[in-house]
Amino acid sequence: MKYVTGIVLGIVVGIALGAGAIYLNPLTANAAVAPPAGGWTFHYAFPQGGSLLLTHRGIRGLPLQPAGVERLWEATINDSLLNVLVLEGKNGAPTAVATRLAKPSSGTDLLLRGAIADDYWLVTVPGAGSFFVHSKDNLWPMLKDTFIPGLLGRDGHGPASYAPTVGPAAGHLAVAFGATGRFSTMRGTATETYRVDEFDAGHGLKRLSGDLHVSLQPAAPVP
Amino acid sequence: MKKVFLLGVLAGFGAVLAAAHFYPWVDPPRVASHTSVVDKGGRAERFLIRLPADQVADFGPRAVGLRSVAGALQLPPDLDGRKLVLEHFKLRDIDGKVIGLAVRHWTATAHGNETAWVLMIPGRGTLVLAGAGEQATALDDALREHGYVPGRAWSGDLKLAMGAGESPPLATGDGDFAGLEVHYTETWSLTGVSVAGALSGTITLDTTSRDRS
Repeated sequence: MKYVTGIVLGIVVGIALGAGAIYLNPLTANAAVAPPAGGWTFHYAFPQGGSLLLTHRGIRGLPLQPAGVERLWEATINDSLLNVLVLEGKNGAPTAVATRLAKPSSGTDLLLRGAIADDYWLVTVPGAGSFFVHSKDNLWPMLKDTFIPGLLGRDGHGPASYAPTVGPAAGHLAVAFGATGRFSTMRGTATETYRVDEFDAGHGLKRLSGDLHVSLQPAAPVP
Repeated sequence: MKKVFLLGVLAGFGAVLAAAHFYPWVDPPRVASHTSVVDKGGRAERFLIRLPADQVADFGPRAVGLRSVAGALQLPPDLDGRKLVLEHFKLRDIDGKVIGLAVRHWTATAHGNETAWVLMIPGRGTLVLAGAGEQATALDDALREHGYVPGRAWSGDLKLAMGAGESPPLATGDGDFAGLEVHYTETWSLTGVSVAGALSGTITLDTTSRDRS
């Protein structure tokens, strides 16, 4: 009997140590990456101030916008998120609008890579055209500072800055390419950085500000 | 006893690390692709959007007509006067099953009116399409020709080719759509307009894809 008790106690302690190791795992922390040189920086505020629309299945701590918006409840899309953001240029004036679609990525590996999400941006500069960004983001550092403490009823740490972009291009960069207008023959890279200013267990994410750095250059079409 | 305890610790610790690494944390439901082979190679696939059921949210200035009326949300004042329409839908396969999300951005550019689509199908991948866009009031003009009077309900049968194009020359998307060259046509089949201006009907996206190589 004492051997059974010993092994059960050992397993419980081992699981607790393993969970702690995963939580503090340095392999899933994000490395700070310099934004691509010579590009544009678009600034946004979230959820207040710059977010026009946010819908998902009803994730706790992430309020739907506007209230009453259609939820993404169907089984094939209920892990997805749809967000429309107003992007400001250097002068602080709205210069573009982005629709952001995100979903968890099958590249998620909580031991080596983190909680990976595929993040797709369709950015339109009125009168100029549209470009597309595909980013793979590691959300784990942000989640463990905010949403996980929130689930336990504790306010998040903060303010804290994050550089979630980890791919899919080499060097922890997102890929970007033009779709229409002046961007249609351009290709490049992008990164995103954001700062969570306020998160509390009761209301969830209250204030976040982010920057999308994009560098696009003229490129020859794929033969 | 001590050895057994340590063995348990190792087993528990190892199990957690193994689960973190090997467990399929993300496993989206796989959706079947309903494709058919077309002449000269390539695959054809049709996607559907039912109006108004699949409309998530639209943004547009008044100048673009009906699409900026029913269910449209406000753009910030700095952007409101610009020729810009953003539409967001749920996307269905040919059987009518919701399989993903679709985003349509229309804007006037120096090259004329242009439209960009992103179709995200979590179980398959993401496809980017771009092409010529319709005139700003194309939908309203066509409805008026078919007897629609603003402010009144309308029912009928209108088919309107709203645009056509292809995947951008530099890339297509990811997953099943990576490395493909995709051409598309977009047809809006309208059967009704409510007094408030809400559209009823179906948007059909017909795609034909080939390997870029």
